[in-house]
Amino acid sequence: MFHKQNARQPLAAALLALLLALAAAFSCIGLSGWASFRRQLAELDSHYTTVAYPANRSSDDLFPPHQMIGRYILEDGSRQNPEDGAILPSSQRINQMAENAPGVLRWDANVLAPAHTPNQKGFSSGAADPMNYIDVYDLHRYSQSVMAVRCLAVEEQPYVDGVYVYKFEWVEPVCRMDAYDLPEQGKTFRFDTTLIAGSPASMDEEGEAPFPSFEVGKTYLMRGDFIDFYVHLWLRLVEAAGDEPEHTEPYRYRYTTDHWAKELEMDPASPDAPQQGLYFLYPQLPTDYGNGFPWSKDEVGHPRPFVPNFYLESNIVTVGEFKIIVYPPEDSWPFYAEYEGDWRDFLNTEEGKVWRDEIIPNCELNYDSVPVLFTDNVQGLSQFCKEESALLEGRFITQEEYDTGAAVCMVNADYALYNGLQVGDTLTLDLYKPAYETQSGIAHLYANDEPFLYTVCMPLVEENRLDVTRDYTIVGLYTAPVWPIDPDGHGFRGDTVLAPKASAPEVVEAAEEDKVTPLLNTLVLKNGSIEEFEAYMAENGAADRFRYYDYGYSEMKDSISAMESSALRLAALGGTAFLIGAAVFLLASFARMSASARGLRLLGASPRKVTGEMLSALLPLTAAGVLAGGVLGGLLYGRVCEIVLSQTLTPDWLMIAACAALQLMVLCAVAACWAALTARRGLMRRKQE
Amino acid sequence: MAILTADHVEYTYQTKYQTVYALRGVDCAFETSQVTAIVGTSGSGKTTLLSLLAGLDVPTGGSIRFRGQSTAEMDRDAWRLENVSVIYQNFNLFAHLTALENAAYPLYLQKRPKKQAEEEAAAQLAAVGIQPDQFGRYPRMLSGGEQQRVAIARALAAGSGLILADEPTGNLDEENSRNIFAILQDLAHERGRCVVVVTHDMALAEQTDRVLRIQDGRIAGEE
Amino acid sequence: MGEKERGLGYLPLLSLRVLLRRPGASLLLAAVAALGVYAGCGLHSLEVQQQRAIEDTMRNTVIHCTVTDVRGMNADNLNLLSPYVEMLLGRKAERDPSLADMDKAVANVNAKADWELAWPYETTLCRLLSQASDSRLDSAQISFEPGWDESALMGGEMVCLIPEGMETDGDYLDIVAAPPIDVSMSLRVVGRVSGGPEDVIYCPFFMPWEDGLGMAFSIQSCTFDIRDTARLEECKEKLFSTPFFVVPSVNATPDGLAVGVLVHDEVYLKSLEELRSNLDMLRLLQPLLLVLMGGISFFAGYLVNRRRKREFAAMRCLGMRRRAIFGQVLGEQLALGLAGGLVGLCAALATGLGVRSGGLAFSGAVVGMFLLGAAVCAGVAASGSVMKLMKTEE
Repeated sequence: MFHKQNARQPLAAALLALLLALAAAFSCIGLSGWASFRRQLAELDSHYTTVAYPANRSSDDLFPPHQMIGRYILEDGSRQNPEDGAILPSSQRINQMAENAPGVLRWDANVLAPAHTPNQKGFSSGAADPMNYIDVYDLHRYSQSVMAVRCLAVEEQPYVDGVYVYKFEWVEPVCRMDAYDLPEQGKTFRFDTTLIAGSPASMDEEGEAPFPSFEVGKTYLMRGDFIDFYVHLWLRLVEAAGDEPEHTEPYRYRYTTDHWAKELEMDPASPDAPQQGLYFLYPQLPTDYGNGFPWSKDEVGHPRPFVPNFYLESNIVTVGEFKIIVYPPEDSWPFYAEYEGDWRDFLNTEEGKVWRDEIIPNCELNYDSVPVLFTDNVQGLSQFCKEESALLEGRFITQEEYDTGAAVCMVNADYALYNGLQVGDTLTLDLYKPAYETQSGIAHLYANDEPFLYTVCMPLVEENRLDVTRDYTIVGLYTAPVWPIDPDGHGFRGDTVLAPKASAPEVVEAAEEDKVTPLLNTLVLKNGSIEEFEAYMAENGAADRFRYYDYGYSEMKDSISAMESSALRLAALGGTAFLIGAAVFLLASFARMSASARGLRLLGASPRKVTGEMLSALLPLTAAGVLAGGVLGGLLYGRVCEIVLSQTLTPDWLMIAACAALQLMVLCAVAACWAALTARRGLMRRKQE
Repeated sequence: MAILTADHVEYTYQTKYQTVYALRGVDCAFETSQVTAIVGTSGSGKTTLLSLLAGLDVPTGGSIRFRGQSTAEMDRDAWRLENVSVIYQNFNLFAHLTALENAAYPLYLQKRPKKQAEEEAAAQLAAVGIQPDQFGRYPRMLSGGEQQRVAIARALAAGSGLILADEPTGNLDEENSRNIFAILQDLAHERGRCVVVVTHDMALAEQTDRVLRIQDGRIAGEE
Repeated sequence: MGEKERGLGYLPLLSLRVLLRRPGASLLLAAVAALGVYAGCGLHSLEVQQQRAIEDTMRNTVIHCTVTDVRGMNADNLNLLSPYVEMLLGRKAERDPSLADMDKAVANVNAKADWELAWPYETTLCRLLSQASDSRLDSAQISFEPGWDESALMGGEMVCLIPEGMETDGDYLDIVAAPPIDVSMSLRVVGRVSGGPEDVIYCPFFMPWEDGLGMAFSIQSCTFDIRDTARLEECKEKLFSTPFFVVPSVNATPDGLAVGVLVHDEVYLKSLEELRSNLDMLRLLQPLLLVLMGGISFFAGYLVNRRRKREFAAMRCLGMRRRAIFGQVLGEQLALGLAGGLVGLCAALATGLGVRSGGLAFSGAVVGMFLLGAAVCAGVAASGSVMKLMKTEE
């Protein structure tokens, strides 16, 4: 019956369908516009990284609080200001708090691990800038050396029991990185506890009665960090004393730890004063008790250096009220060995075997190494946020590569030039367990009187080798400051390789197993949520504990919110247009059908049958209209996309299909109700009063 | 006196499937103060004739003249407005206008002031037996007889000399039919209108002054 | 037959009253009109809003630039000569005319140069263009002497800022440069730095070192901003058209003349592109949606009035002219359109879309389409065979 009506009045039916099609097309385009605006917003959002960095950290923050108890650290780890008694929540507490703060997307816990690069040379600070020595680059790896030295003098420290001051002269370097200058023959060096914490001294089993380790006149092989700088302080003092400076090039000096000498207040003319020349620094690892080993203790609380074989000599350490005796394990590598005659002959003896087969190869292994920063977001690293680092060539690591753990990496342009690497080349990394320490370096003396924190990778040792060698493709070259100055220790140095965290699950796993304190952490925030986050932290008593960077997102904010409202309004318009179009459609359709429906009912058809008949005529028309609208909307929208985005971007048919399906469902439901009501209308025509 | 004459009126039109010869040369004349009934079987062409008489269209052959003037040559809309009123079987009242407004509609069309138009319309409604309390009702609130009376009142209100009724009692019961017919007769005899009624109700037709029988588009006889 | 009155009579008013007696249809048509107007105003205002937002963004955004070597490195360890900074400041116009108004494109030039001092012992003299030139001063507090402020650093006077704890004889500080410069001079102390480095004395970048010794000197770092991002390309072109500034490239060989400038505009440009394409999209979607809206209006007008065919026929029978019927339908729809349009306009205003001429024009077009739909329907009804209509069953 109603089918016939449609067939008899094709124009009316077509017009109705056309009306519905237009309304559906409108709403499809509105919704597609909304969807594509949302997509564009997401795309726009992905250009930006908003990060929060823990700020105002001190080295104390980096260690478990129980070791700091008594040093203004309360039981719960919060810190008390000794002057005004104000309590600051601990870093751990703050970090926990931050994780629950609004707007936080995730912690990017970056992992720093050293890796051996069999085909590349290590990039020492001397390679980066011949005029500078930067311990941030070199310490423990490039500067590891073995030297043949002769002991010239042993003196007991007058103020402290069991501390001796030794004076040596160079005999010959046995093993050192090529990039370093050679120590000058005949120059002397010295060390003692005033200069270097934990000076080696032998002692008995109770830690009493220490006696000197070295004897005057004997020759030794000694290993440690070798630093080839000139102390500029001495340059000047020598001049002041009227002597001709050893080095006549007035500006060729390297900066370093002049304050030690200053503290000594020694007369430069004194034979005991540090000599101009080369330092043999840090005879053992870890370097000092403040920063070195507290992150690692054995079961009874004895300090245990993280890196095997780099143990201290026996020593007594006082931490708070505790007196700790530190013993190196018996099979640990020796720190020094006495030899007679030529050290080459010594290497071939049984005693020299460990030097020849283990210590020296280990040094060489370390020369060809890089720190690798495994991260989930290069652009979230503070140096990139602060625009101190920038992409010079190639590209950044993509999200997909972060997600899939693709073996790609970014290297410093300087490092690349030094090793003749280019974008697209392969960098082979032999991975080691993450091992690093954070310290306020001597480099700060050059850069800033306020100590700043930085991380130094520990030496590579066989025990830490993960036995994973992977070829990384270089996708980008970045530039980094020569001096990675960051007051909170978030800087990384210019020889660092940046790679996706997921590309080295073994390293991440090892970091978790060893409970390595995560460094260079970043709290990734939702773009535009800095205020909210800081307000939350301030509310919880931790104001100003984070630094924020957003790559200028806030400047884009207005445009972005304008876009957001455009998207919403387009969707709303689409929906409303559809509702009105659909209302007209249904009204007109049922107006056409109501008389016939009554007629059918008068003929005795049941309301159910009449409803069915009406729907069977109406629904195909509805479906045709919506379908045509969807296709029309899709095509028109596709055309717009093609023009605007100048790329063959197919319209989001899925979205359009979903939209059309939803419309159809709504229409069907309303039509069904309407039809049922129409069919059930009373057949009596009553006068209406 | 014949005010309306049909001379050899022919009317053909094309449908989708065929050419319909609705009228094939009709000659007749209608006079004032007389009720003429046009009778015939369904499809005989009686309604077509009535519509042409009302000036809704012009004949395809022959002519219809009102007071000597051919409808084909005149402004039929204006003529209809002033001279013709049509009453339909299904009343054709305006659903959204009250009885009074329906009756007054031709007067509104003539741009009479509202008050004057409504007074006149009220008089006409009263004349056809509509109670004043029904003036404000919409057609759907009235019975068929009442609706047809309103339609007649509307026809009267226009003040037309020519009243054409197409099956005016087709939808009404016997009593209502008689009443309506009485009104129509009254219009012709008392008020001097020319009334033409198309009907197939022979009983009613016989009460008229003159009966024209139409068959296959031709006048088959006159009684 | 009554005498004819002049004017329109009561009929138009009656038709308007009738509109109220058909609330469903009237409401629907008014809603279509309202939506049309709302859509018109809304779509247009979206475009305007977005356009404005982009303009604001361009106005507010500052593009940071870092001076590097030609390979893009050593930004904190430059051996750049001071005239380059002067070029950026527009002070070396005589050397290269294209640099004459560089200072109009470039803002916030920060640069610093450190000199070793022989006296005061163990200190460095740091020449600053502004406080922001030295990151060590980020967290430092500077207390200026009365009558002095940061602009002292930009001037050429012989003044200095000294660390909080440093002792001086009166208001002046005597300094001696380390060899080979070996000159000494006396600087007026205009402020003290607390919370910063304790061995650095700050002085203006362009301070005359000694009479006749206005020589070029080496600087460690230099950054600047490009302010007017609407002219970003122009500004970059200007900058890189000189032989002094180049786009850094890893494989470039230093020629001793050029320095690199890293313009940190990637994110900005990408975002701007995204925003612009969004705007283009909006601009193209707008007419499309309005055409569709017009179509909807047309059919709505047509379909709703299609039900009144018999009514129109009855009017014709009563002697109403086609023109009059047409006029009446148009009038009715116009009334509905205006009423709906007004509602749409109010809605647009209430939802903060703002009403602008462009939007109104579109809205007018939509209402026009809706009138057209009704008119076509009325026209068809009025022109069709009235005779047939009168016989149709209800």
